[in-house]
Amino acid sequence: MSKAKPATKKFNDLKDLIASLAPESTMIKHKPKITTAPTFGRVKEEERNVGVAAFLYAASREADNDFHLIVGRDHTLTPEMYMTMEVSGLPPKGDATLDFTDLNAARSAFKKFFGPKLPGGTYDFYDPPIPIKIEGSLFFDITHATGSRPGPHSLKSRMPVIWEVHPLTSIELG
Amino acid sequence: MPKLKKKKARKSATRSAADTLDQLRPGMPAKDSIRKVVDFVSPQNARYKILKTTEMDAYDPVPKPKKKRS
Repeated sequence: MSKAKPATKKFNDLKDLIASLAPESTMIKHKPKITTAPTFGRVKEEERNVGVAAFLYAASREADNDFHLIVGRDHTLTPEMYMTMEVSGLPPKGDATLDFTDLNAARSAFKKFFGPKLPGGTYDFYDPPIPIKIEGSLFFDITHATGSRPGPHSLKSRMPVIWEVHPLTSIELG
Repeated sequence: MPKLKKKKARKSATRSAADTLDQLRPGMPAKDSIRKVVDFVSPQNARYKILKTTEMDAYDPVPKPKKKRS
């Protein structure tokens, strides 16, 4: 999935970012219908780039080589709230339309921060949560509009949306 | 048997490391999902604990266990 085109809108609180998203019911009934086909592009609600300062609570590496990041608010704030953000696997280097440079920058920053302690196929949690500043494009994960919702069992009841920031184009950790 | 003793020691070390964590802090994993606690020092020299858990997305395939030397 390539990135959206508009300028990045920055949020200081993940709660405000989540509140700005179109409701799930609207997205499920979207016209044109959102499909899971790899050639299906972004719909207008997904044509947004966002940035937020928050905390990294958990991460795992998916079978498709993406890293799933579970990003949440400061743990002293209520309500507790988390959202999935994805560090994408890299597209072919030669294809300029697939934003290799931005995706590679975000992935390299993530890998450099953790060094040999990158997450594997099950979730690593971080104690204390790690401060993170991200930028990336919004993506409505229609694949999980039915059935099991994404996220680790311990947190997913406080993950109110299946929207993701995907792909991440910038990450600052620590 | 020596092998059995080693396994028990490792398990109890994980358990005691998990026992020192603040389980009441929002965002912590279920205690019984923690299989290992690893120290991590960030490039900025901040200290964290990485809690390696058995938690995964419900729709993901269970990762194959790494082969161990016999």
